[in-house]
Amino acid sequence: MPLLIVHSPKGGVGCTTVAANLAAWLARGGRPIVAIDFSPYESLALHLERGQRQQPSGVEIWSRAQGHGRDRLIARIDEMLTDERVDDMLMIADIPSGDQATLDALAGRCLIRLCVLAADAGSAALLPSLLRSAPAGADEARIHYVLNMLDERRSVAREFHRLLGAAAGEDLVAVIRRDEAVNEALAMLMPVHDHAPASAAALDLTGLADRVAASLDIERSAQETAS
Amino acid sequence: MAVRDDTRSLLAKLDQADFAYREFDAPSSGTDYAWPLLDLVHRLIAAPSPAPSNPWHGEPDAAPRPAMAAPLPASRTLFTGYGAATPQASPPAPSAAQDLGALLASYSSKR
Repeated sequence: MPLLIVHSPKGGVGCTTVAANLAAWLARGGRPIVAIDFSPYESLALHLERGQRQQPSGVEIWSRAQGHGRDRLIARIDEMLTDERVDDMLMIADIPSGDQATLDALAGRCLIRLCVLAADAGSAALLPSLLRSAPAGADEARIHYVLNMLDERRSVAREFHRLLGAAAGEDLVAVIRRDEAVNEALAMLMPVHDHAPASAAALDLTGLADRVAASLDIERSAQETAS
Repeated sequence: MAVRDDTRSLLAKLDQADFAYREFDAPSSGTDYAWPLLDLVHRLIAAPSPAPSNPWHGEPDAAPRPAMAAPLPASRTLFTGYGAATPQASPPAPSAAQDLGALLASYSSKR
């Protein structure tokens, strides 16, 4: 079972929103998902709560708030990574900002690594450090960027989008527009695509999820061909 | 806070309780990036040319994509680092100034 990690060097940029909505949309497409919340709170589960109650979403949640320690969660990830019976499943780990130890531990284990940045000056200031933190080993996943909360009407956001696009090139894999529907969806305890399926943020989040799914399918085909 | 009658009338026509933040023009700095912080970051990372195949770059006003976009072919798939054998992008060339602090000091000395 492959692992996807979502992280950011800065808090409040929407990592958990991205992780939860990826999980929900990929599960909607029929792929069993294990969503792992490394924060000490139930923040990821909140995004999925109502969907889970109304119908089984296909998302199984592991969290530190359930009493699992960080090391226990990583040990469970290791068990699943080597389990060939669940190759069609995906683990999505939401790593809180500042938890460098978990990021270091999972960076070498993941297949896809998404770094979320907000379209603001605070995230922009961290970009040089991020771009210099190249993967440590050849087997370590490259860093892919998700620019979140973009409002093209705002000059700073617009300039940062242009700068990040130039610096990251194809590694900027998704742009998610600022949208009140994200806030409302969390208030409704449900994924954005369930609360406001026609919203800009729902289109952007599901678009990213579809690309993740396509990449996983291609990776799996390559592995089957190789074997 | 009291507002003038004409303001109240306008807000009522707009069905708003107050006015949204008005964006002022970015400062003119004569550089690629108008905002000093972004200009510093740009100089620090020595941004390479954008990859022409990046479907995102340079299209901030593109129409929203359909929710179920067709998968991209393998050679252009989004996460090409995974098995599709696209070379890892080279890290940006080291800048003369190695961190934001150095650039800030440089910027401050010019003020």
